[in-house]
Amino acid sequence: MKKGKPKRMFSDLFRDAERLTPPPGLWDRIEANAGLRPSGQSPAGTAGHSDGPGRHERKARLLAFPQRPWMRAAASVALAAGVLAFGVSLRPLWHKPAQSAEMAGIPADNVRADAARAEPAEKMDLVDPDLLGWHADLGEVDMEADEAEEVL
Amino acid sequence: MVNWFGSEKQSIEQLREGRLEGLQWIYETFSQRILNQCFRILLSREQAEDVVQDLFVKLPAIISEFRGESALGTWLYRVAHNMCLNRLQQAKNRNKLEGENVDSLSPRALGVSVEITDLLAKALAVLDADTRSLLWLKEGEGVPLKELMDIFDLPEGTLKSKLSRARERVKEYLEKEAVYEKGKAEANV
Repeated sequence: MKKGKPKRMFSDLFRDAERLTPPPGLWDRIEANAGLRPSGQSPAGTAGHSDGPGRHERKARLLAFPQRPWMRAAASVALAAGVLAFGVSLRPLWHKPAQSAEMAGIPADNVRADAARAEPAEKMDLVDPDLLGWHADLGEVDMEADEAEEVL
Repeated sequence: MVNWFGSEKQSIEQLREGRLEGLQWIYETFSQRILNQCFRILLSREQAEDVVQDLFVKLPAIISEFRGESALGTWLYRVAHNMCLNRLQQAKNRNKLEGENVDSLSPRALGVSVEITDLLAKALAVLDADTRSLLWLKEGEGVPLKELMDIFDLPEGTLKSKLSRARERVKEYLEKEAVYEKGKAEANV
């Protein structure tokens, strides 16, 4: 007999060894005796089972994830921090123009002079002379019409 | 060892909470390997299934003993190994009480017919139960040496020499078997 044969036989022995499969009824017996809360599912490979174990549970956990108290608290903190950051970013706009100018390094007198120059222009923009003239004409026409009615 | 993206950890948590889903996942993942380990120790399918059932029924109660220092599979192999040896020991004690002479932890002591269905079963039968378990896990399941050290609670050197002796004994058996088979074939010609 060749010397290498038992060695080959040895490796083949384990590679080709018969592997047992748990019989279908085994899980049912375990489930019945384990005394755990039933889940309505059974493992694959046993009678009448198709879903993987804990699949629905994992899905439910995933959906419930944002509903956990610590997650809600974290979301509240993040929201508050966001609002605060937005408020801080708007802070320079709350200052008066002179103060803003001082912050920007512009002399306060220049700012006041600019404001005085800008004011009449704003007023002119607000009251349109043409529109006022048209309105006055409309009033005269109305008065004439009223007088005419009185005559009639 | 198997770790399906944290499913192992999640299943252990579920089992600790008393939920069946956790037990289902562990059963699906490990039952076949545990069954084969028990079969190779006890050399009886019926007894092996009995131990697997016993192990999974007790698992919700004993999972608290699992501290996560090793993989769950490694721990389960150790539990199954001990349960099989306990079963053999109990049978041996029972037989002793009944006046029967049982020398070692033999599957025959269980009082069931030993299933020597394949050459491996015959070869493993020449070893003691503990060594059968070790050799099967190493050669049949490919369990790494480091995990075997956890399962058998033995240092690396001891484990290696034990494995070496077991291999030699099985090879000796195979050699005899081959000579026997050759002689049988020649006799037929």
